[in-house]
Amino acid sequence: MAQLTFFPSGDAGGTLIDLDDGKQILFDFADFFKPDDINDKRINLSEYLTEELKNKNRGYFDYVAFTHLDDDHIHGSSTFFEFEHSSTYQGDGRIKIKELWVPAAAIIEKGLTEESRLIRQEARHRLKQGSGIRVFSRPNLLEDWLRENELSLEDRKGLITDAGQLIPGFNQKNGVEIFVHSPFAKRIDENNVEERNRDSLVLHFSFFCDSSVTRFLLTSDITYDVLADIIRITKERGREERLTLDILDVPHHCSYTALSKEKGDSVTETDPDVNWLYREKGEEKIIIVSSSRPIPTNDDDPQPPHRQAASYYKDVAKQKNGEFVVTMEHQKISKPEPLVIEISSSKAKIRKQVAGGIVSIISSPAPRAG
Amino acid sequence: MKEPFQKTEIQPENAKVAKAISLIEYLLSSSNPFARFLKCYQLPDKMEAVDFELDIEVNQLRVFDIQPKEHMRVVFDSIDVHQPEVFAMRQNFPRVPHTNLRIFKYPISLCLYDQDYSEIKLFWSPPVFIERIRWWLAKTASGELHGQDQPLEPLIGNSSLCALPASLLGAESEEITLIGNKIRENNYFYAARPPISDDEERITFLHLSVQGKPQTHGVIAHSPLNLKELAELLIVCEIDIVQQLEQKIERWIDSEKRNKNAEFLNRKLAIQVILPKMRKDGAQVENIDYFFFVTLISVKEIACKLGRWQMLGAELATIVDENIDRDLEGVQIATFSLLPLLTPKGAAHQSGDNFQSPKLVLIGSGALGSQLFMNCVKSGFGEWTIIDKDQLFPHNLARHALDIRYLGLYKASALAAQAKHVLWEDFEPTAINADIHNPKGEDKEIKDRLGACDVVVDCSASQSVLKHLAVNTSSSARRISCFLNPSGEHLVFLAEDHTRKNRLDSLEMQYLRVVTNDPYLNQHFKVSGDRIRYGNGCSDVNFQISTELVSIFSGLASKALKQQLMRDSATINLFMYNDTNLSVESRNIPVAETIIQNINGWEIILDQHFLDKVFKSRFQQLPNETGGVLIGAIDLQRKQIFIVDTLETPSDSKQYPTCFIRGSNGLKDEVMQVKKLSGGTLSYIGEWHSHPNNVDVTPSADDQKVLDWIYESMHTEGLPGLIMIAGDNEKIHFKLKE
Repeated sequence: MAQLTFFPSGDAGGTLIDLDDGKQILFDFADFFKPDDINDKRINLSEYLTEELKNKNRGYFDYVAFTHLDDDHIHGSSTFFEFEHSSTYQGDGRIKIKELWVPAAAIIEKGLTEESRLIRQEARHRLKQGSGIRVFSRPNLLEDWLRENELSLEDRKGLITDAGQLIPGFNQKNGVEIFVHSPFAKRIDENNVEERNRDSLVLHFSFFCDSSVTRFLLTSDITYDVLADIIRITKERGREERLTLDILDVPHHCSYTALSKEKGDSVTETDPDVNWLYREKGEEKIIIVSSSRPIPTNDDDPQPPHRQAASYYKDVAKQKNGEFVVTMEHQKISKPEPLVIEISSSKAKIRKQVAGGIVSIISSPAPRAG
Repeated sequence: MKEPFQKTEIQPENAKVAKAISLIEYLLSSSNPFARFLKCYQLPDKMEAVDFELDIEVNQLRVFDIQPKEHMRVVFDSIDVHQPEVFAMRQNFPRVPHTNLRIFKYPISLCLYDQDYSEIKLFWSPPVFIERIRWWLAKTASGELHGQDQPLEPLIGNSSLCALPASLLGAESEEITLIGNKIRENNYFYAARPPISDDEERITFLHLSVQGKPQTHGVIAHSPLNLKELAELLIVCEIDIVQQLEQKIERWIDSEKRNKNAEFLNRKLAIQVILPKMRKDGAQVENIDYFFFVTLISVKEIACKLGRWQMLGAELATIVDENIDRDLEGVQIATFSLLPLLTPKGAAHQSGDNFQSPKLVLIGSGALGSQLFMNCVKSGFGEWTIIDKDQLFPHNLARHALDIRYLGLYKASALAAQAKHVLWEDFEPTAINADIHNPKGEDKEIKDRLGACDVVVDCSASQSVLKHLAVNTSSSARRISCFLNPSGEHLVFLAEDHTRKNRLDSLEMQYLRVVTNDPYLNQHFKVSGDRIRYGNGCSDVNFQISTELVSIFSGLASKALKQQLMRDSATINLFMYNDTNLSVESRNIPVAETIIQNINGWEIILDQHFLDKVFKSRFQQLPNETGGVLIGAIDLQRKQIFIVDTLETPSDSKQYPTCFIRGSNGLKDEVMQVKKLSGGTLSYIGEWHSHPNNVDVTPSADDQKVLDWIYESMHTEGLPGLIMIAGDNEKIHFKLKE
């Protein structure tokens, strides 16, 4: 049974996918938790993931994907992960990454600082080594960089996946297909293509269990126009099934910018293509997840989540008899818990189990008694 | 839809019912993130209701459309007598399995527990209660609430029960007679069963049997109150009951005229409806529900209500009219769910046994035999013949399976009748009221039964019957014997191997050898209670034996019997009750291989265990000769000598390489002790001695003198003299003089 876990990390990304075969894919890592702040409701992600891996007797993730290199998707990774390119970032309980997934930007972008630079260096190192990496890009886009580093595109082609392809190694047999929507290029005319959003991953998952398929769209921080492009291209190519949604991770922490140019008064008036995606491709009983803080009741904060966007998603959920869940509201606003979605032959369900009780007593050591 | 509740909203702090208060407090504490308080209400009779919303763990694909959020209500009575009733308040909440039948259709009442409320009270708490409701809803959504291994729910609820032999379920018989046990005024439990007494309610119905289209279980319909409601219910199952009834009545009218049976149509009507059930739509038929819809009026009256006939004098006449004026509501009916009577297979299943039906002959149906037999009947085991000559007397009732109704009757017949009161169908025990030793006209039947059976079970508690069965009856069936010791504290279980190499009589001797040698068993033959005289005859005496011990041991004996049939080997088992800690210890005695030698028309029966003892003692004394006395039993009637044991060589014996002189120090006491410990069966039967290596085992001249000396004394008791010589290479030789 596959399982998705969304972390209550404030307005930051973070999704762990447990696959049927035991492998794990971590999408983004952002640990903003402040141990000294008693009002901080966010998860101590480093501790949580370390504990989860310990329970599995592992010190690594099979795949770690950074959908893009904004701070709210990588924060704290310099102290959590082991980086192969530098001994400064090795050992001491750091979590190893068997295969790193990055968009093209993480190789070719210039002028990066701090943690984003560190991840770029690691990605470049692995690409040079020719292992432990997958870059999501139009191959030609990397050609110059590879030449500068005395590498040939031919040699590294197996490590690059373009939009419109399935990620190699995942198939119906092992329970999941992962289709790449972004980064992608848009043909402007016969000779020119425009690189669209080369810095962000958008993936579509099809989880297979017995005879049922459950689809999940992972969107990171894309804006409505990019999403509209993705929709149009995918329709043009006759791959509408790669837009079907049983589970949606709403883009950009429930920002209106992922729906429309304008925020709107009470409900964001959504771009027609984007609206088509959710209304037509959203399946009955859809689960919509907003990785964000609780939905505000006013517009004081210009940052997402935006209540107007949330109203739109709630309406989609209602139309589909589905559920709309906000990570920082899950279970209790006062103490949000990781949101776990289990995928079985009966498709997805949100786990709703009360924590505590005897099981929790016996699954942890007792405090010292004096 | 309108709620059936008359309610007034109250503030949470004004709730008075303790469980309502605790539930409200729990919900308001927000300690369960998936449960939220909504409102609370006062209801009539000081009942209180609490409304709340629950988050339910539901998959996107659901068997029943339970929603991620459900509005629920719990109604508490004021004194906590009834289980708090849980309602799903959503208007379109689906009709799902495990819901309670109520006179109102909305809201739906959940059947949360399969236990009595008094059991649930022990662990009822708001968190557990809320989680139970959430679990119920989640499991219902995924279609897992009703376990795959759980039988299907009935299709029609609120019905009374009626038991019917399996052969009548779905049968097309014209009439069915039901016998009712009065439970209270106007309330009977009906069954088509053998009559027990004369004052039972007995009704014969005309019977119409119809079969419907398979239905999916779980959606329970109410019992119809009249023929109109029944017709509506059955049309769903594609049965046009009115049409079928009309056709049937037409035939019955003809039949009444033909047979000139005026009473025929005055009978009431029983419509048997057969409804096959499926677990889900389109699945295989898994089970069948049978119902009786019984009318309170006669078939004649029904015919008139159907509008097709009218009474013309005392007879029914057809109405020729296009417009039929029916009064189906005027035909009131009662609904009965039909339960099949217990069958042998069903009984075995109830007992957790694999169904087996070997042919068994039970000899002796006293306390142990009758209870063993009834255990087997109640667990559907075996096809039985019971042979016993005794009648049932009052004192028997203390320990017998039969009761006062059978006083004075032959136990065998009475027991067979009693067994039919448990298993009425597919079970035909045969009773032979005869003395197995001395049958009058029944000898052929006994012989046939013994010859055709798989197992002879001896519960006669008689050594002579045991021997008779072992030796003098002709049957390849293995014999099994079980009996209690005089105090009733030990059960002896002897079973032959399936080839009958180790016969019952030899097994009995081996058991007695253990009893005489094991100090732990030195009370085995002790009579602890008083002897009780129950009649005027010399042999009308009885031992005091605890009725509980008979129950315990008859249970063990029937278990041991069933187990034994799984094994080919012979068994000697002793079950010993310990009064101090109320336990039973079981001792399995290894069975030694029986050896039979025929000499001068006598059968000498011994076993390997005895021979091992003899050769061991010979070997230890080599190069000298050694010997001692033989312990066993002599059956003059059958010319059998059982050699069971030897006693230790007396200390004043003289042992030389060429001779052995048996001494006598302590010997007499020892032999007397053996006799006592074995209940009088084992005693001195002769002498044995060894020959050195390389010496023949044929008796020497001295040996012959010893035999003569023995014979002289034994002869005075009418017994033969016997010597046994043991030589090298485990050779033995017997010499007998009579």
